[in-house]
Amino acid sequence: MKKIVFLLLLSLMVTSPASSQMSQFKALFLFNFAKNVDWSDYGGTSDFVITVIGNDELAKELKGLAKIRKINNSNLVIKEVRNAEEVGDSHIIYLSATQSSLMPIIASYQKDNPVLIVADKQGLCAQGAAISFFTANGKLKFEICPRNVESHGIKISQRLLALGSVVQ
Amino acid sequence: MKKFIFLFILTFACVAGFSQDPQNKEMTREQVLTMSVDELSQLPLEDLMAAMDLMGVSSMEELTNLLINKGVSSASKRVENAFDSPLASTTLTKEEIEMSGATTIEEALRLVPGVIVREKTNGNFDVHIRGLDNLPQKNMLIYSENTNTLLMIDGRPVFNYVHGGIVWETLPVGFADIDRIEVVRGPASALYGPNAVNGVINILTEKTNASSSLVSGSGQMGTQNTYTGDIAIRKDWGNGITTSVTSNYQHRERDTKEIYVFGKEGMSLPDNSGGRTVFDGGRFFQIDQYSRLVDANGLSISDPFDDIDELFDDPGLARENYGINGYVGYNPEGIASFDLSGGYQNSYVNSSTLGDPPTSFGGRKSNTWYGNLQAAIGRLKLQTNYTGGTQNFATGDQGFKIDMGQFNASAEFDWQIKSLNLHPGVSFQNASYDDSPYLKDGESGYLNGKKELNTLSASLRADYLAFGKLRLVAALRAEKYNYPDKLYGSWQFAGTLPIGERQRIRAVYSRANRSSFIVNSHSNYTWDREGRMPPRFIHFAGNEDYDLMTIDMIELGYRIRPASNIVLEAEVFGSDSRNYGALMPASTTLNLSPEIFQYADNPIMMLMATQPRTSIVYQNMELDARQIGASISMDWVLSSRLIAKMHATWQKTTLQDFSSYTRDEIIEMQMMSLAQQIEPNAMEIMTGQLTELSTSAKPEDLQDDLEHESTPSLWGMVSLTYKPIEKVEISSYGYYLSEQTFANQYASQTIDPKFILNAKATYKLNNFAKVFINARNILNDNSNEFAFMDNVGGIYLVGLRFNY
Repeated sequence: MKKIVFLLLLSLMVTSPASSQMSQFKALFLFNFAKNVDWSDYGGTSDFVITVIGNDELAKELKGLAKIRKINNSNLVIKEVRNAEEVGDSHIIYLSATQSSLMPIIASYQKDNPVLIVADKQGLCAQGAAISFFTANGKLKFEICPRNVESHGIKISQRLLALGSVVQ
Repeated sequence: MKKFIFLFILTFACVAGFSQDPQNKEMTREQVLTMSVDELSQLPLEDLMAAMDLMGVSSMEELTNLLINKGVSSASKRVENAFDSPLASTTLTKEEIEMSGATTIEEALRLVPGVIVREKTNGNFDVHIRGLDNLPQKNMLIYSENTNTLLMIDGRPVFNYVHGGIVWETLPVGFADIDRIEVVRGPASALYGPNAVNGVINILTEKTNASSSLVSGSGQMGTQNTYTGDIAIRKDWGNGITTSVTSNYQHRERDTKEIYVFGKEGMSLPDNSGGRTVFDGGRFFQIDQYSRLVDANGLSISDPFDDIDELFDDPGLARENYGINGYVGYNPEGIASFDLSGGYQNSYVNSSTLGDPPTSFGGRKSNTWYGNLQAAIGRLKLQTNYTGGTQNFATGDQGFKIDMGQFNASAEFDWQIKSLNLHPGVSFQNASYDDSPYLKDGESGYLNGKKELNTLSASLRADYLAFGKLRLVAALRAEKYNYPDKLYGSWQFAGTLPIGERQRIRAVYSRANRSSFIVNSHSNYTWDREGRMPPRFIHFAGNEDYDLMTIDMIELGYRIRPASNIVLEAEVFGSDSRNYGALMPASTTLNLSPEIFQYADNPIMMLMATQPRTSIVYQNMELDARQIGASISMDWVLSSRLIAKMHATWQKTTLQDFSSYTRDEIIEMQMMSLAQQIEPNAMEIMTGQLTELSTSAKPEDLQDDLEHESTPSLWGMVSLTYKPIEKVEISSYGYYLSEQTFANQYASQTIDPKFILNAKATYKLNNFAKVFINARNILNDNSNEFAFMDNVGGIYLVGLRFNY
């Protein structure tokens, strides 16, 4: 009986493998965002840099993608950092849900840079994120704040705007 | 009529529920599963989103986001991860509230660590954060109300500045309004102003957006004639304009019409045959019996001038209230947003009295309305609101009905300079109360006119992230009150240090204070006690110059997330609070004349003939309360089917410089000491040379190291939510309170430990409707949770939740 209870509990505690699948899709979303944003005024590195803060799994998926895909003929380079001060020249900065408290600091450090800040927690557009993932009714969605895109001197495609939930 | 409306809503919801959810049929899940990353990366964004929709977000992912990666905004005045919060704080989401089956906001707070929730009568609760309740004890029941916690709805204080405390039934909002409830434990005056002594409860209402349900709500009905319901209608009109209307209703009855009367020596009930039944202690009586009870001298226990039917016009009703709210949001393109809300509530409860009768029960009626405007213009946040209406804090008791008005205005600026955040603010509050419209000619009210409290404040909060990880917070606030005419400072210093990504340690030192309350500053009530034991008159007077209750607290906290699906938290705290006060006897005076000697053979009659007058004044006490305690909590998403949560708090409060004398004991001492002077001064009295005797003598002895037993030493909660199949959810939580001994001025009562087990089973009919059965106190433990109040047993309900 005790073994049955133990096995039952064990079966309940096994976490779903879906989190890696979610990271894969978020990586693909980031890749797609990159194709739908215009960094023509970007004067930094010739590589296309995505900086990831606080999500090892997503960084791993992005690194896998970087081996097989390019962004507008630029190599895709994935950097991982732990805090706002370490963030170097980037086209996209991704901030994980667990590190979302850093959002206002990142926004302040990056306010004059041509960068797309993507957060992984709903509501962070209010703190400076351009795009913010959220889940609703079992689906992955994203908020998008045109003001927070334009304030960084980059341009976003109408297609991307139409697919997100626009917030002011 | 109300029941018809209730049934109509249920019927509407059921009909709406049988519509079917459209689904995407263009791509199959199997096709997506066979695609490589390379193939997926070549999909345009709309196709990628369609593929993601087919795969779906796992329930585990959603639950983890919902329960483990919560946000909190009340601890730092901006949204942050609850895991990173510098203060002990908890966010209770609407989903968690729904799962718990809680039927009131107060009950839902049992899910929050550190919160003590005790039911007084069906649906009426005492709520305290961490304790320090019933101080000073051995006093009026009003001092058991929670004057240490500031409650806000969207940042608007909903607080009773007449006596201090939260009048829960006057909250205009219900579950249909609420997005989340945030609770900050520990002193937070530096962030929110006075009365955030032991914490803050911030109810945040749901914002309407394009994905909001047009109509949502719930209704349930059950035993003890309990009916609750709420409904919200929301609409996003586009162009940044949203509107919503909500309403909520509760009707709950007691399972008795009797009220508790405090025991008095020789208390008896005369019967029709000329005999009498003597009672040796307090107990429950019928209303008509209460009005006939007499003491050992044959004098009425209740006030003979009270109209019993006005005091208790419906003693079987525990709580009836409804509220209606409207919200308009305007968020135009640009940098400004505006949120306007307004509402009305009407309530009547029978719960613990805010007056001072010989019963622990009292009625309370309120009709209040409010308007609240919030504007965000860039980094500037402005808020102003007004709450007005009429409140009767003790129905049928002369002088307790008042017109009230509370005005608040605040401006705050959020300024982020790299790793430094500065948050300056100013605010003003005016609270005015007027009892004169409800006083007939010659009647004495509690205030006898319009009285006001004004508070002006300025604050600055600095939040700095040093070396990329050490977070340092300092918040300072200064408040200038008109009564007392003093400047008070409150502060908060906190630090948070991450240990890797999965652990946080934090420390807090903070000071907070209560505000002034109208009864403390402006009481002006003469109580004519004709026909009762002396003194004949008691005059209650406010004090415009006293010290506000102040607390200092140190807290250490630790959080760990050992895996992505579990978070554990521990906090230890120690506090020192002082400057307690109460309306206590200052002096007693006897009127002397030769006629009093005609009662020379009856000392009580002689004393009554002197028409003793006692002056009661609000005054500070030397009392000092020292508390140490610890809380632990856990949220664990074991799987997409099973969620476990628990919290437990232990505390010990020790009183120093505690005076054990009650108000009545001091009055009796003063009267007796004066009475003993009558005979030695008989000649002067007979000749008219002495017409008055007066004393302000009081016992001076104080007790140290006395354990305060009104607060339970241990309380907590364990909950499990299990979803065996997609359509069925079973949730259960047990709430435990250890033994408490409550003492007021008339009696003390020990309340046995209680474990309250609750359960709810929900069946999802379709995407739009769920039916449920809900059992509160399922084991029907029919004992009281609060001294001298009802034995609240099990309540069993059936209901329906809908959204369309």
